Amino acid sequence: MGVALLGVGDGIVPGRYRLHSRFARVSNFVSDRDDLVAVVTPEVGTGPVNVVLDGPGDWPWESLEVMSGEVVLRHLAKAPGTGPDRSWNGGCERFRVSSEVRSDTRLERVRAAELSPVALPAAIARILDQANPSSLAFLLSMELAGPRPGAEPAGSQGAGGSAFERVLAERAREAVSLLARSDLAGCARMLRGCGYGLTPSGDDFNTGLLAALWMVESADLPGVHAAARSQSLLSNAFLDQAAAGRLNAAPRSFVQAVVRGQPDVLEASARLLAVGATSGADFAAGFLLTWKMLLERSPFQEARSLVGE
Amino acid sequence: MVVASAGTLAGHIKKGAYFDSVTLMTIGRHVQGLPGVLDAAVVMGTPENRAILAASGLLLPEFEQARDTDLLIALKLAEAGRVETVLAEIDQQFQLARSRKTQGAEARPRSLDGALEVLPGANLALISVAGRYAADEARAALERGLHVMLFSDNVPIDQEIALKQLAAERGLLVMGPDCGTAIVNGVPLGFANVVPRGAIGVVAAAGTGLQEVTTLIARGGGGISQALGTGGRDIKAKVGGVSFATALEALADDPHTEVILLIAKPPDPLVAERLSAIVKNVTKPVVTLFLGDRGGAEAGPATLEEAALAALALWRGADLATGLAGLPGRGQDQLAEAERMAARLPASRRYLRGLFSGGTFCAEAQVILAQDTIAAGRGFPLLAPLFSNAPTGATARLDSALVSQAHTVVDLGEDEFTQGRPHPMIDYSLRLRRLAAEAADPEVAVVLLDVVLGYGSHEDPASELAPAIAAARDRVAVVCSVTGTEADPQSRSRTVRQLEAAGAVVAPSNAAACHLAGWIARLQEDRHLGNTEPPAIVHPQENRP
Repeated sequence: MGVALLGVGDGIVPGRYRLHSRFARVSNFVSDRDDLVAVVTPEVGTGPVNVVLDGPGDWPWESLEVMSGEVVLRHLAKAPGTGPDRSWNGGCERFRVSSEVRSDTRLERVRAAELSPVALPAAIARILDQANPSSLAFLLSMELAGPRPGAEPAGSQGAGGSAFERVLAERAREAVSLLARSDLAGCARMLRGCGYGLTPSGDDFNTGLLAALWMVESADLPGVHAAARSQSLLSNAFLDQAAAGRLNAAPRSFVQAVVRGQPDVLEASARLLAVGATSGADFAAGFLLTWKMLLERSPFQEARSLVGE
Repeated sequence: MVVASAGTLAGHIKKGAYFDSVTLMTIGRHVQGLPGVLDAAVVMGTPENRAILAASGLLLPEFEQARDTDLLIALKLAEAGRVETVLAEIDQQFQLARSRKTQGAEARPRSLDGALEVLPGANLALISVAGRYAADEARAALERGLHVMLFSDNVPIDQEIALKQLAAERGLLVMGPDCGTAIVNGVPLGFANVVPRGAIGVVAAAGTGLQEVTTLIARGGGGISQALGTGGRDIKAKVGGVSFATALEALADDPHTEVILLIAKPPDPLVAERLSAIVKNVTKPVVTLFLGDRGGAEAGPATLEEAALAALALWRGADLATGLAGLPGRGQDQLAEAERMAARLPASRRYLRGLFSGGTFCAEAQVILAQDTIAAGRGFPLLAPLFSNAPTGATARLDSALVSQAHTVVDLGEDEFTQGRPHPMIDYSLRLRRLAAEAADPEVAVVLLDVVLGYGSHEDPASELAPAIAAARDRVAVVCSVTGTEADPQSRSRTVRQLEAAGAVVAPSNAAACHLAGWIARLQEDRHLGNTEPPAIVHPQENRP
């Protein structure tokens, strides 16, 4: 097929995987131990459990094997003669994993002295302005920037919204109030599994939360991680990676830019918001709210005073 | 499935249907704008979302059974009469979402209903999902009037029984669970081979057994009308042979089937009786092979190869003896071959090790190696003692499937080998390691392998096996069978050439390979024991009336 291997994540567990779910740019594979590998297009980019292949996506692969030096994708059990690409069903594509394609997705831990407050307000403003209104980004408005008309999830306040969205928004507010009281595990527990899609908004929020805790080597990390894990196999994979300090390309760039005050924070925010319908914004909300809370704790007080809330 | 309509509250669960959040939110919004809809939610069935639905007054009791991979549609309507209309509109929205995603590409439905939208005329569903979910999907298919091929294994037996009862009530056939092979109207399903269409219909409770007979029939110049698998458990007492009987009756009624071939391990006696009663009323020739139990019918076939040849003979209007006429002569040739191969080996190498990917082939090996075809008149089996991880008849169970003892035949498709890895017909890595280990054992004379071609199997098994055989050939004899046809994607002749070039001897069938390998080991054991009396080959056909 002439497909090239562009990246192999550093959080991938070698083994055999079967197809779990397939979207336009992502095919998710799971092992019997519930490990995840996502075969993605370059637009999605590198990630701890991502195998990046060039091409338009929507591949036919139905099983995957990852070895130390090789990735093998197979498609099986298709009847012949029912379509142009179904000539037979034992298709197999092997990719040698060279050092050039191994992705390093680990975040860099940060010391208080390295913190820059510059990027935080800018990131919050950008996320609030451009996030999907149904995302949890409205929580940033509530907690950091004061009420902003239109920043609530569509329908959560208005007459046109569904009861589900209203209850979800109320639950999210309650969770954030727990976060503000340093009950991180309570916050994570309340939000896990809540929302739309195969990785619900609450799980994306919790991924951001865990990434923030990892960056400061928080002692709360194991307990919050345990509280955040949900029934969703996909969510758990991302939560586990975040708890190990590994993120996909877009959230990783965003986090590093925010923490280090890098000038490209607006660009990184835009890239993050392009992830899923609400996933990027949900992650941003979780990370930024947790980061704010961490800034209030030692040894980050000095930096917090510069944030200028 | 519409799960309830309680006043103005109604709902729908789409099992195993997943959509991205954009689709769900878009459709949710659309539904809320429909006339008569007071409130709606379209979400995945996580426990937390169900809790939110409860708090929203949108939870139906049936939603409690949902899983995080199920899609929940909750509706609050001004009037109950709108339920069907609104659900139809939602279905249309999902269909639109799918068509947008699949525009210009192959349709990839993600649910049974989605598949039926893509292919409304379908009358058979092939289900291959994790065993614990498979029965739900199969029931849904039966309820929609579809026959079912249930590829999945690990389906609880009570669910299998319930599914087959439902199928029987509706005049439908359930193939499986654990049905790996079928050929329906010329279309190979699962692990199946490219064979010509023809007049011989097959019902088999064994997947590789079905592949062996259909390919042997094809190579013998015949063709297959239908080849229907039932799964191995169907012929047990609890299930009662429901699917086997249904499939047999279907072939009896099929105008394109002239000869019927039945393949199974020995069924429960009551099931055998039931099948026998049906066969008595079938006006077409029926060949039956209950592998390892000929029920006193000495004139009947004893191996898969003999069964295939018998069916071919009957299809041609000849008798069984004519069909099997070539087999005794082949025995003489194979003894000469065995002597040639054994002469290369030191006398200390005397054991046979069979490494099978097909469970039926492993069972057939035990039947053949326990027979006295070579040692007729001597009063002892060809090889004994024989060990296996899947023993039948007099074979003893291995202490550990991972460690061979004396003469051993291993079914590498058993659960102990396939947990967390593909079937050995797809993945040869385990067999290659075992082949190397057996060759390194100074007491092993011959390694016996089955190579299964066709859809679903490894795309080029010879490329995997040839280097391993070449590495082993100086220490042991390697005997293979290759189940397949020229029309298979891997090409049987090409595969055979590669294996022979590597140093293997390729037999025309699994039965022939078992005989050849068994004779090599027998000759070596005789040498080891100082028994110089030449073997007296008496093929079973020569003893038949």
